[in-house]
Amino acid sequence: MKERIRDWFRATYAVFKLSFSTLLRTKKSLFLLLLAWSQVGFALIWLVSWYYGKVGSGIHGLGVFSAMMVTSFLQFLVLITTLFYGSALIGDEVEGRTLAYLLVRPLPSSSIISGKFLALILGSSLIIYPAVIGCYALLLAPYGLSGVLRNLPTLFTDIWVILLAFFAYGSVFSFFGTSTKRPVLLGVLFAFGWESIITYIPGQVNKLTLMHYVQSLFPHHVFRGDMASFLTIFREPAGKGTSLLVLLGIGVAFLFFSSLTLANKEYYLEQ
Amino acid sequence: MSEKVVEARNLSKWYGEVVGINDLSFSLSPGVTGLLGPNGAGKSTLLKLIAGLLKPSKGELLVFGEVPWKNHRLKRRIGYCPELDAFWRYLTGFDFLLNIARLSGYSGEEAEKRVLASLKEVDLLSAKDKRIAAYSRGMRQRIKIAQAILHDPELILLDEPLAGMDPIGRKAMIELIKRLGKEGRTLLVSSHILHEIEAMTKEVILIHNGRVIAEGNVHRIRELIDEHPHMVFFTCNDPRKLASLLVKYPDVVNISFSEDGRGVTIQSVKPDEFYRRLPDIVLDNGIEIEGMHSPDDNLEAVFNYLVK
Amino acid sequence: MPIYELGYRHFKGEFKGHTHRFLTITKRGVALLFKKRRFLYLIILSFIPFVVRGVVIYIATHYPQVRLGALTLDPKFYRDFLFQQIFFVLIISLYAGSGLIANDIRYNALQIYLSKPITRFDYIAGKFGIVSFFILLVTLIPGLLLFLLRILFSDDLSFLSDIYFVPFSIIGYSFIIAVFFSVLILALSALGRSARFAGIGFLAIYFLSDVLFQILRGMFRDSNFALLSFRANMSQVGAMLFGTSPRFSPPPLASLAIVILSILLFFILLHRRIRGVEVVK
Repeated sequence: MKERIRDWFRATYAVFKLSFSTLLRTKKSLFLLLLAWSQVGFALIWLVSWYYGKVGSGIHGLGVFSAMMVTSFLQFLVLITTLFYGSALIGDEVEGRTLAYLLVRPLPSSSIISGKFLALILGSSLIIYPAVIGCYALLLAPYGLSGVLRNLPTLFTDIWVILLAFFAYGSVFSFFGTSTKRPVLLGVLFAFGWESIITYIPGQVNKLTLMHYVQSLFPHHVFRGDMASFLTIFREPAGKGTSLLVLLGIGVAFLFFSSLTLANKEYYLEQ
Repeated sequence: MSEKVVEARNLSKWYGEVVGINDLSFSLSPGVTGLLGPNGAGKSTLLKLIAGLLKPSKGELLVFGEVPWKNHRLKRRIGYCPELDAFWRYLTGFDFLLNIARLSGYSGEEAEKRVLASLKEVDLLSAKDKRIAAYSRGMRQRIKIAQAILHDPELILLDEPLAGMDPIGRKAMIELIKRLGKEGRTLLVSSHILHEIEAMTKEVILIHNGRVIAEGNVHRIRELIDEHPHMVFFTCNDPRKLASLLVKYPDVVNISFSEDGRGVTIQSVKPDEFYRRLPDIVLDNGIEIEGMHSPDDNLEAVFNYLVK
Repeated sequence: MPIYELGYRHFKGEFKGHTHRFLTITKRGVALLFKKRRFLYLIILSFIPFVVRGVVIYIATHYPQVRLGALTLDPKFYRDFLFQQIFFVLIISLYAGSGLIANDIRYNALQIYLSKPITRFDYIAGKFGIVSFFILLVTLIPGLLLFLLRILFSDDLSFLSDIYFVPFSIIGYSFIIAVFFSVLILALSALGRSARFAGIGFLAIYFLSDVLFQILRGMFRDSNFALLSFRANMSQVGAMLFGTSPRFSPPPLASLAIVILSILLFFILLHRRIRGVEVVK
């Protein structure tokens, strides 16, 4: 039994190493990095504008950071990143016709999915977190070191909530990537269709969205603007414990379904 | 009696309405076996079924006595070289094989040792640090074979392994395949190029339209096709005279002359009788036979006859 | 000589001119997409807003006493319809366009295309034709049909003097939408071998530009940043073409200039990326 567990971890690690090395070298990673760092660019613009007194009174850096976290990072970049990587989890191997090299090795399907998923989490983190920290530092720079340190708990909460969002959304999109031919379309309809439209419906229906639980854990106030309101209408938050359980549960469940699909599905790698 | 490494009984595989494999029954023992058939015959499908990449639609398939589908532990004993020309583009040859070694369960020094050994086996040591995307077609083919043999599998499945190779590479690969067979491993090599298979082995499985049409030693198969007239080509001083002497026998069914007038092809449905009477006819009538050979005692003739 | 050898013989007929060669690619691509059931469902789904607005037109013309709130049958009605169809345009572009060039690059089909007597421009035009055909199918056709319905359902055609220009606006706006989204998705498709990258990149660029506008507007309380958002620029261009008041402060002509510049930029990128050979170092 011990040997099996050890073999499982060794197999997962081998898949992780391969996936992570190929993930970072792709154009899509560069593209996502540019997208994430464009936020830092805007934070820099704000800082320069503040320095020259061009920023309106009453606009606090922390408020801008909150807005960026909710609209840019949480409801856009995290979704795009996890959609990109999640749909490619098995999809890239199928499209690239390299899946056979994995499936003919003595690897349980759960190792393949877990290894690749770990690469997804780490890759997404490397892309998003530096940009989040960069924005935080720039937007709170006007308030000195004390301002930066005082709001650190907010930053730490943001980081782990984003990690939970990676986990939950990543697993859902990974399942789409493992089981369907058009995971991007399905992912787009889910992330930018279902998750957005359902929040407009009054009542308990918004509890059927992942974003409801993610936002319940987020420490920021919701930013109100035209596009932001389309993305961020938010009703009664769920409890923190419930949100945590739901997100972890969804994540684990969809990873399990992904493993099951990979084990049972026949992939026809076309010539 | 040799141990049966692969056993298939009434094996069928269909893709929707398209039949890939149709009621196949055969077995494989250690050594090299050629899987021969035209494009679309079902060779790749059969190899993928054995490798556990596809699930049979019907029938039974056992590899080392186990079902290969959803059996990742069995894959430790199987090496598979796919037909598809596909790789993780950013990796060098060395990195690609190192990852394969790790995925096969090796780590550290052992993985590197195996990688270098398999690179040497396929003569790619000098190109190990070059990206696979920059390899020629023949080099990519060799690296695919290297990943199939890296973990010392007992059963090796090679799908069109010589595709895209130059003559020298092809010769080296044929030698490698023969050597692996002599080591006691079981190899199933698919191809639609007959002389390639003939160069590797005399044991073949002929497949056409998803069905096995013949199985075993190519010469034995040839002997069994006794309804098919046996052809013999003679070059002699007087082919027309020879033809006139042979035509009266009822087993001779066809005679044709070569364009240069120096040769004649005789078809007989009873080759044993034909060869028995031949020396007397030749000697009694003073015919000087300069050369004689049978154009259809080869795989191509056998196959062409069987698929007609 | 009465007996001919059936060997290769040169074609002695007339070759068709070069002008319409790209149409072969377009026709084939359109025919292939029409065979896909799920894509057909998507097209049908995209006609739902047309049906809804058709009903509104009927009610407005036959039951004028019924108050339809903000939905009056003015030029804004048609502009809003086309602007809202952009959601389906995004999905259709994603489905039809993301793999159009990426798959050719992946499977080395680009070399086959370019080895024939067609230019790179023919190839691009052919692919462009495929995406824009379907975009126009869900914008131009239902847009014009809505206007036709208005005419057909009305007893009195005096309203035409006020909105006679609307069909031209529909045509103009539909073509701008078609060209913009077609060139964008094709440019991204030409960037690599992955249709997925093209699709997600396409969405990312479109949505992120709007998110950035919202952030900057929030930071500086200035809606001139709308020039950064493709979505906002499309809205402004629509307002200009239909003669309605624009939603944001930048002049609509500036938005049109941004859209045209973007189209040119994407086209240049697309043209540079289409080549027969990729050198790997």
